[in-house]
Amino acid sequence: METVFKKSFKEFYTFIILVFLSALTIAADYKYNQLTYVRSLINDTIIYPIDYVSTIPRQIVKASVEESQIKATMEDKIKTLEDENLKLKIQLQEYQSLKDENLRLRKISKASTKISEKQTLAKVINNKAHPSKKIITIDKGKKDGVFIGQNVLGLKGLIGQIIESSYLSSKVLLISDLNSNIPAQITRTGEKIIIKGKDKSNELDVPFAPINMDLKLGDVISTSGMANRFKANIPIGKISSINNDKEKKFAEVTVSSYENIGNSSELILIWDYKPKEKNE
Amino acid sequence: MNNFLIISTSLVLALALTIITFIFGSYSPDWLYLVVIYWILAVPNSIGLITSWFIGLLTDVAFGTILGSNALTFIIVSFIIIKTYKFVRYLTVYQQAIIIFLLLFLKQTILLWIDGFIRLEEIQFSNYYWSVLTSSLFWPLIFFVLRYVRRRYNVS
Repeated sequence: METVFKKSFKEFYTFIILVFLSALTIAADYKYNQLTYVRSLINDTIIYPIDYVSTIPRQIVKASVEESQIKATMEDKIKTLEDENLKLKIQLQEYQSLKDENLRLRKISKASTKISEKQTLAKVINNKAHPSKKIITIDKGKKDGVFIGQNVLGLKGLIGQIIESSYLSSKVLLISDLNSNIPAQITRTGEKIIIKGKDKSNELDVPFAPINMDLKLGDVISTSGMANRFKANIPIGKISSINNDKEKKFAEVTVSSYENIGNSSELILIWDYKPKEKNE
Repeated sequence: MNNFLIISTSLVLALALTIITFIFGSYSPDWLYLVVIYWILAVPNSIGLITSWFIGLLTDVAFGTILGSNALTFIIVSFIIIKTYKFVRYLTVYQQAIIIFLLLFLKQTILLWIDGFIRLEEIQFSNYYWSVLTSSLFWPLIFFVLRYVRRRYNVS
């Protein structure tokens, strides 16, 4: 009888100690950010391999589907690509002259003439790494020098930012997440706005846009570089709908992103911009 | 040795399932909780409190939540099951599913409370409680599959 009691008490004390330990870890992680090392260690040793292996079946299915379509679509694809190439070459000529002109004008106004130089391609391992938030995992981590807050782009525009990085992999918070607010501007007027995620994957919201703000359908939205979170002038999307309801305080504006956010398999990390942290 | 191998394999599979079912959003069941609860019910000495605390830490890293929050709920759930397994074990599977529902409801409420206390971001209630329902619906499946595994490989 006594041993049963002893065992029961032992369990109870372990329980109490572990509760305190959990409270301590929560406090240490939240308040002092001391446990990133533990998190990154567990991530690299256990989560990353499982994540990597578990996405293999999905990739095989995807690859085989693509394989079966390949012959039928290949010729079409080559043709469209050639057309596109021609168009782009012609456009490039125009851009080249515009760029020179821009540089000349900037020299006059003595603004910076910095253009991105170093980029890294990253592969998406898991394009749904959280049940409710829009977070993806990529295969570049601290070993490649990835830092928190780094801007992540697609071929056409902004995709997100790094929020967590371990040695082998890191997590990207997409701009379409409900909790990501991006300081942006309308390139036509230069007016500053904030872009927020929506439930739909390729639509973004503009909260706090005053009624009758100077907006047109098709206006290009790009990052403004305010708050030092994103590099300036990265294209985000264009305005797809405006609803000026006089009853409400703000206009309902929807932005459709250039990038197919969350479905891309390769992303670009840029290096020439480092966001300023509050603590520094 | 056999015990350890089978149980850790099932936990790894549960973790993989967790990661795969992220696509179903907040409807995806808590596979790890179900598997841990099953093993504690079937073989009470298999998973102790300390092990379940570490499994909780693992869950935290997988979900990207504050380190320690799932660890806390894991030990609370395991402690309740360890203390009551003699009673819960003799219920039918569907009655057990109700117990699981209540336990996971408690767990999600604690997680919601922690998130609300910390308040890193807007809280959406729909993200919290759907998994409780789906988990308890999946309980019979987990129960029968793991019982088959347990009998087949003689885990005791």
